Amino acid sequence: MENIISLDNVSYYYKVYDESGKRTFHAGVKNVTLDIQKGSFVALVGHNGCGKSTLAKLLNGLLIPQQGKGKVLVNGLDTADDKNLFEVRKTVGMVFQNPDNQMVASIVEEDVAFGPENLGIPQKEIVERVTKSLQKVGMLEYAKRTPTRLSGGQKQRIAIAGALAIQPQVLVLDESTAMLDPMGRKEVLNVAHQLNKEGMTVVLITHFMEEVLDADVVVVMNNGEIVAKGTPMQIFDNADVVDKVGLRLPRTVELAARLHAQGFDVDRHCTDARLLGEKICQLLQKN
Amino acid sequence: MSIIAKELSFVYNKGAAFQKQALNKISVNIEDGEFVAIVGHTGSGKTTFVQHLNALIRVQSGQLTVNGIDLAARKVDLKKLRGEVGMVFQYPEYQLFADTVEQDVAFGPKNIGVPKTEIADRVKFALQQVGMQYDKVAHKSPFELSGGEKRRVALAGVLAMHPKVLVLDEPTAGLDPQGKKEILQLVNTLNKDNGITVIMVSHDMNEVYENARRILVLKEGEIRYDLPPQQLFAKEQEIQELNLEVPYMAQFVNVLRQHGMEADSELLTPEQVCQAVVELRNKEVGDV
Repeated sequence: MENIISLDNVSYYYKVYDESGKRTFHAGVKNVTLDIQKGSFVALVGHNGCGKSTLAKLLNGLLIPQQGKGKVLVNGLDTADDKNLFEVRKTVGMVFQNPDNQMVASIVEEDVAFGPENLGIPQKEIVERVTKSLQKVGMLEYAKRTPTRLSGGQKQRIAIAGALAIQPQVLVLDESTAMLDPMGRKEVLNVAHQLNKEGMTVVLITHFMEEVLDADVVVVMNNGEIVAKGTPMQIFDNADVVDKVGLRLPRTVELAARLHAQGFDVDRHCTDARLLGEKICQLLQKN
Repeated sequence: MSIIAKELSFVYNKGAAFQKQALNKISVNIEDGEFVAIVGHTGSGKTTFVQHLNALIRVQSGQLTVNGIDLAARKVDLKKLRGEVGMVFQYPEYQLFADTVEQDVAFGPKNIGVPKTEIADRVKFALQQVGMQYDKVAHKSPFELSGGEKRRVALAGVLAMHPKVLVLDEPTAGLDPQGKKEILQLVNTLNKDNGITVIMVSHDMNEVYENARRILVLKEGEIRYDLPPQQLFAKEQEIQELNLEVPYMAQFVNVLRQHGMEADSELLTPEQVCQAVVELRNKEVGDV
C-alpha cells in the first residue's frame, strides 16, 4: 500500500519560560516515525498532553518540525517547504475539538463554502462542492440554517463538511468527539467511517478507547513518543501499556479479558456485552 | 435537612411565542448524603432543575426547600443558600479568572463574608481535598495548569465554600480517562467521607451506572424514572426508547438475568461482574 503521509524521525519542541524567565524547550513530539497508508483508518490515542494534537498539527503543516528534527512528507511533498504548503493543506483537512470555535459564517452553506472560496474555486463549482459535502455528512437539509441553533454533533458534521469541500485525501479529526454527548459522538464517528469506506484516509485522535474498535491501526502516544502501534486487539492485549499511559480498555473488553483469565472459554476480544453474556450463560449451564 | 421539591414547574418565555415548558410538576425528595445522577436528553430539563437548587432560577410554581430554606419564598437568603449549595458548571475551568490559584479559590468564601484568617485555611484545605499541593500551585496562575488540574482548582473554589450539597453539571466532560477517574474519585470521597450530598448531571451512562446510587431520568420536564442504577438499566427497552444508552455491564448482567441467573452482589464494574460470574460457576459446581 502506498503511504499518503510519512513522518521520519520527527520532533517538535515548544518554547517554555520558567519562573525566572529562562527559556527552555519542551518536546511536544519526540522522534516519531510513522507511515499512514492511503485509505486507512488510523486512531491516535493517549492522555491529554501526550502529544497527539502536536502530531496532528504536524500532519498538515500547521506545525513544521524544527530544522534538522525530521521530515513530514504528504504525498511525497515536504511540509517544511513553503511552496508545498498550499498543496499540503489541500490534501490534509482538519477538524478540531470545539464545535463552537470552528464556525466562520452565520449560514451553514456559507460556512462550508469558506474553504473553496479561499482557494479561488469558480462559483458554480463551489455550490456543487457545498451540496455534495453537506450530503456526505447528512446535513443538506440544514444548508440555509444558522449553525448556532444546531447540536454539537451537527456542528461537528458541518465542520467536517467544511473540510470536505476542499476535497482532501486525508481527514484529521483532532478530538472532534471529546465535547459531544454520546449521540453526537456516534454521528461523527459514523460519518468518519462512511468517508473512510469511500476511500478517504482518516486519522482519528481520541481518548475514548471505545472509538478505536473499528480502526485499522491504533497508535498509542505517551510523553510525545509512540509507545505502541497495532490493530485494536493487539493494543487491547497490551493492557499494561494502556493502563500505564492513563487510558482504559473498553469496559466490555476488560470484562472479557478478566473472564478469559479466570478460565472461561470466551473470546477475550469480545466487544459486544450481550454476546459475551450469552456465551457465559452457555458455559455456566453446561456445567 | 434535604432537598424537597413538590410539583415544581418552570416555563421559559412565559406568554411569549417561544414559550417552553422546561419543568412539569417535578416532585422529588433527596436526602442528606445521597449520590444522585440526573440523566436525560438535551432539553429534558436537567439544567433547569439543578439551577433551581441554588436559586439561579427562581421558583415559578410549586414548592422547593433546600436544607430548610424555602426557595419559593419572596425573600431568600441567597448568601446562605449559595454557601450551602455548591454549583460546578460544565467546563468550570473556563470560569477561572484570578491571577493566582489561591486568589481564585478564595473568591467564593470572601464573597460570603468568611473572615480573612479562616479563608487562608479553607483555601489550603480545599486544594488538599482536590489532591493539589498548596505550596506548589497556590501562587501559580491557574492558566499554567493542565486541563484536569484547572478543573480541580475550579472544584476547590466551590469546596472552599463548605457546601453541604454539591451540584455538578457534566463534571468529566472533555477529560481523558485519567482525569475522569480523578474527578470521580474525588466526588465519591466527598460524598462518602464528608457526607456531602452529590447531584451529578451526566450524559455518560457507564459513568452514572458505576457511581450514582440513585438515578433520576428526565424527559420533557418530567421525572420518568427514579431508581437505583441496576434496577433502572434492567429496563432496557424503556431506556432505549428514551434514546439513552444501556451501560455495557448492565447489558451483560441483563442477559444473565434473562437466563435465570441472579447475583446478589453489586454488579457495576467489570471487576465486580467478573467476580460474580466466578461465584456463579463455583455455586453451580457445588450444586452438582
